[in-house]
Amino acid sequence: MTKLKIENLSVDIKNKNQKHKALDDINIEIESEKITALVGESGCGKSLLSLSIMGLLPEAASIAAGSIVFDNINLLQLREKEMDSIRGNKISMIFQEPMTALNPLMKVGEQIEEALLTHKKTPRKEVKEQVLDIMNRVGLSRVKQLYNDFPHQLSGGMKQRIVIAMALINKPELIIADEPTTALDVTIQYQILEMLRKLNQEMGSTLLLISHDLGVVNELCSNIAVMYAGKIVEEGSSESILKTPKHPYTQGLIKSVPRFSQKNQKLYSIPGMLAPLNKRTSQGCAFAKRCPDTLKECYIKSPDLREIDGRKVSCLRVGGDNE
Amino acid sequence: MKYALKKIVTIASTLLVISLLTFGVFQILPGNPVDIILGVDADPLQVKALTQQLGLDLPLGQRYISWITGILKGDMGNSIRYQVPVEQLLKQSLPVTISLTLMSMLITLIVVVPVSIFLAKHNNKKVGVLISFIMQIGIAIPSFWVGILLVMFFSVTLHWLPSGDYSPLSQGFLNYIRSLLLPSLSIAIGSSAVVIRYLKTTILDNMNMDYVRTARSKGVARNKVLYKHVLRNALLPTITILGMLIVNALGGSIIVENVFNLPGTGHLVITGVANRDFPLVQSVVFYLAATVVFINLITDLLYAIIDPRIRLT
Repeated sequence: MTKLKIENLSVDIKNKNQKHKALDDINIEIESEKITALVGESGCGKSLLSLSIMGLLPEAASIAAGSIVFDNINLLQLREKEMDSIRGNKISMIFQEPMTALNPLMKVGEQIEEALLTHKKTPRKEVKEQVLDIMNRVGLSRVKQLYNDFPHQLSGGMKQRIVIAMALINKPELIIADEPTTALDVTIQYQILEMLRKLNQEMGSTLLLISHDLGVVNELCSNIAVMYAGKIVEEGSSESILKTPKHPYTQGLIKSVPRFSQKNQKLYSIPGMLAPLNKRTSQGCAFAKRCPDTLKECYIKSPDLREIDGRKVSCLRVGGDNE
Repeated sequence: MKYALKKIVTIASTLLVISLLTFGVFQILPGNPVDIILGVDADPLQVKALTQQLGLDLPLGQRYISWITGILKGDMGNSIRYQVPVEQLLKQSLPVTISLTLMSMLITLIVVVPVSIFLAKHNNKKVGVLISFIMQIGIAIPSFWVGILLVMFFSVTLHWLPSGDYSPLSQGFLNYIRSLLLPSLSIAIGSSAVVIRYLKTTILDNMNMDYVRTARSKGVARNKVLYKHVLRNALLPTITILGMLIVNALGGSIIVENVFNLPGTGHLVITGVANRDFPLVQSVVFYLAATVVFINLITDLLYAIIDPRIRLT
């Protein structure tokens, strides 16, 4: 069953009176109760996509076309008030920067409480109970004392757990986690991810995990969508994509993961860089300049996302006429 | 405890420096009260007698010490010009200046928050740009000139409010407010403009911060985020500006009191300086400076109350 269906979504970013396409014709279906990963390097539009779903795009960005359908409702057609009632209630988001994601002047307990009270009329006695309960469930200890602490008194990992508690307290149907562990050290990363997996199983919620860490993705996710320069270039089950990547960008990403067996060898990285927004052209494949294996047509013809071997790929070399 | 001790030491040393400065400045200033009282071609014997009577023949150090010990005991000596104890003059003039300062601050506070929020919401719209432009003018024009304009409009043309003179609280609340309204306004217009510009920018900065996005992601409505989260964070740095503005209002009162002929401390300082009335001016200036020091202290304490990140240790 599909929980979230994004169709033909394009997002423009305005910069100095010029519009740039930051998301270009995104199509993706996120399956209910599963963990789907969205991977790609910085600047490829992962966060922008998640903010589009939340309806929290920055002022400079605007939706140019497409639809985001959640439970048969097109979120893009909702009025602000209606969207407010979904945000934090049915869809919630975990942000990547726990250090700055909390209001420095408010007790952390009250900030979790706010998420609950915004959507659910709860008797005063139960409010605190529920807040303390969710704090326990995200792995915080001595929660009663913690409730009255301010963000600056907490470590990064604790803050991230508070942010997660805030996102989970209303038992949302869809959770978007935007690089939830990027700012944390490795041991805490593991704990947080383990916790997300457990909560996903217990609560039966759908999780969209945004990451650039393929190790993490491999551990947790059942489906993977790979993004490059505002487009989805490959999408399918995580097994098929990680074991037999078809798109040269996905292959490059997997090759760049450090491995023990390659100790003392130079770490692989995809040559070149992702072009900044104002230098991207709509002609040809966006990855052509960095691709190890280009054809002449790659610079002229833009590939479509086509279904091949149980996954979708957008590359001229894969499937179709050139294979 | 350590914090309190540190503060006390700082304040004491600041006050000591202030007292030395105010005392020193009036020793360097040309002209002395004896010449002003007796005229330039007075009898040398008379001059000598008056100098002795006023204690001006004593060595500098001794005069400073007797002045400062007097101040500590609350005895500031006699005014040369008015021939009465300085305390008495201060007791009459302080209520005027304090009322003026408080009222101008009150007006500022009432205006600042709603206007700043409005401007932050309409930042890129025409109304916002227009009001911001008017604000710039408000910052640029001096308060005494605003005062004269206000008098011309509200007193001379419309006859709504008195053009000057003070009516104490004992003569009725309404008259008291009426007598202070124009002078407070002329101070408040400038200071509101300064605070509004600052607060608007801070609100806008805060609206782009991550914690606002987090609050919005919880489903909290835009306006509620503004009032519940952003405003408190934005008001925090504004406290410093407000403290500075109280100080400004105190200083500005010296000029505004003369424009509106209010018998406040500012008025007192001006007459004192004109008559080389050392005991009077030294003491009043010292008191004003001490007030500034204490306002800064209060600002610091307020910070600690509002911002949980600051703990007084």
